[in-house]
Amino acid sequence: MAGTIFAAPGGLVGVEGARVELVDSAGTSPPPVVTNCVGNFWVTRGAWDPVFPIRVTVTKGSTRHEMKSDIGRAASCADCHATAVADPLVKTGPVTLFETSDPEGPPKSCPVNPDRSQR
Amino acid sequence: MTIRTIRIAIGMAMIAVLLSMLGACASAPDDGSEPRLPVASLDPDVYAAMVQPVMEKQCGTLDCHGQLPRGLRVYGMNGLRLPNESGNVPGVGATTPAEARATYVSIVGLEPEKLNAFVGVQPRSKDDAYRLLVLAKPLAFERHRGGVSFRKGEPAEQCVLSWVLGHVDANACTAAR
Repeated sequence: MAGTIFAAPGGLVGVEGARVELVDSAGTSPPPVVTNCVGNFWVTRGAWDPVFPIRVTVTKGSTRHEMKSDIGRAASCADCHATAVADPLVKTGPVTLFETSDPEGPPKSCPVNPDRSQR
Repeated sequence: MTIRTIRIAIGMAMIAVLLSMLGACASAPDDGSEPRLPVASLDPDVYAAMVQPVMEKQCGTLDCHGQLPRGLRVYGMNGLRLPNESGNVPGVGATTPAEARATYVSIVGLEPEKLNAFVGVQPRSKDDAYRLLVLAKPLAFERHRGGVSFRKGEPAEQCVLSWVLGHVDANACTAAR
């Protein structure tokens, strides 16, 4: 399982330190998953081989969002959440956590620019 | 008779043959029936009210049947949307009656001959119901890329099963939402 958590709609700034909680239909979860400085997270199949569907919740600070629907079969968030949506009826936008921006601001010590639109 | 006259005669004969062929194509079948595939008479209103939310939750995510290329397409508020002027996109805007209807049409259009035969037998049997793809696939009786989506006896399965059997279990459908 892998994906990217972005700060807010309208931008592509990755959120560092967001906790991604995954629970599969068997009730199992992977070891704690936290996004890196560009917002990416992943769980290898060796670490967790889930039974779909999966429920996912993302938390940072006091902000907590649960995905509205289950993940049916996709191992990649980008299968459904696209940064450039060609047809908004069949795909949805990037995974975002905040309304406007990360209250903690963008990551400061990231080796690369966490704003994907600038890379 | 000149060659020109012969050519005109042949041309007129060909036109007459073509017109008679068109007439044959447009005529009704000999038995008087409508030449179209019948569609099963599963209750669309009960479907929209009781079963659609369950199908959306269990089957309609964007990575499963919330995709246009799927044989079974499930439309709904958190998945695939019908073209609309309300600004509805995945995750925004409630499921519309048209989306429930489109999902219903997709379900009955999966295997219309088989479904029609199924509903034509009274009483409808559970064994026959489990042979329908709408149940056989999520129960993984038939190969299903999404694996096991329903388990026998759980509310979602009871909801869909009871609907195809013609007496929807409202409690099961409510519990499965």
